[in-house]
Amino acid sequence: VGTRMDRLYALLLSLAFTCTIVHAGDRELEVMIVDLTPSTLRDADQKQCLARFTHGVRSEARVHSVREADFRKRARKLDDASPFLGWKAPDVEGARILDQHTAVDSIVLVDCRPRDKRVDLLVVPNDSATVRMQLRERALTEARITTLATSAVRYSWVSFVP
Amino acid sequence: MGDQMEISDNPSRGRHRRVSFALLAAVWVLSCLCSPFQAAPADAGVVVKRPALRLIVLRDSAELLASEQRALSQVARVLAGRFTLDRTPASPAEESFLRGCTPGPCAAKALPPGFGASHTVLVLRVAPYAGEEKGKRRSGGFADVLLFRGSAPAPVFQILADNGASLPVQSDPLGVWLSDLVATLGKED
Repeated sequence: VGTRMDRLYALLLSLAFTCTIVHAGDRELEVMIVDLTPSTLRDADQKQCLARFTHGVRSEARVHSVREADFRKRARKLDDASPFLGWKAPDVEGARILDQHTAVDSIVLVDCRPRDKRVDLLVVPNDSATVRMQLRERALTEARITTLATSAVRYSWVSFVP
Repeated sequence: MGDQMEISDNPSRGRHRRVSFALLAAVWVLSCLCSPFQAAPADAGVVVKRPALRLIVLRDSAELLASEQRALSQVARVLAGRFTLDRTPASPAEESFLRGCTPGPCAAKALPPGFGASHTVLVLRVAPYAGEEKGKRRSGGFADVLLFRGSAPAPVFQILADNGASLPVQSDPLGVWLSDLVATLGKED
């Protein structure tokens, strides 16, 4: 009986190690999220949209939510009224460094308008490339916002260095 | 036999083994729950009419690399598990229309004839080769994703990626992500 039990313990132990995936040296993906929805359109629905989006990203990455004013100050975009979907990666590179210990892997700019059934996203995964995402004519359900968050995270991994 | 009796008669050791067993079982169950495996759908026996989806691949290079073909086959296989998949290549008029949508917005004011016949259309653009490595051409990855629904001459959803932000062809699980994307974002309200 004792030998059988010992074998069972060994089997369970090996299964536990097999099922536990360990990546040596890995770290979390660091994503900055900035709400760039025009201030006049920021209502309760819009805030819920942003919260759901942030929650979706947070389930797969470490999120740093940065206020628009702070972002614009760092990115030197204070007086830039041009649509952010047209911005290039170097335009926002200055905002990537949070402090002397943290630089985010990806910057995600969000304009979420539930009433207009539209979302604009700009993902900046490195210092030279951007990814523009646009959803139109679709009610912003939780499932859709989660899909958008998953998509933003997918592109945020593009230049990830562990 | 005497040893076995001694083991089972020792309450402290028996309790220790039971606790160890419980802890190991808990670790195993938790770690398996956290793994990416998914259970088969419970209603596998129910026949459900799958929505129609057309998949169009646009390529910026003369031909697809083997790695790109493999990745696209995997994507098509996953999509075919959820949709009635139509892989009819784009006609010259459709290709011209779609090229006018990248980098967007779509230049044409109407869809080419027959484009929306299958109602939902997913377009994947394969980026140009990203140079060579050890004498072999390197894939530029998947750049743009466009999703058309109905007769609107503009995508309901689009991802336009600079070539430096393309998804690598070996991104996993690309097919599952695209399948979810079509199912949630393409669905009619």
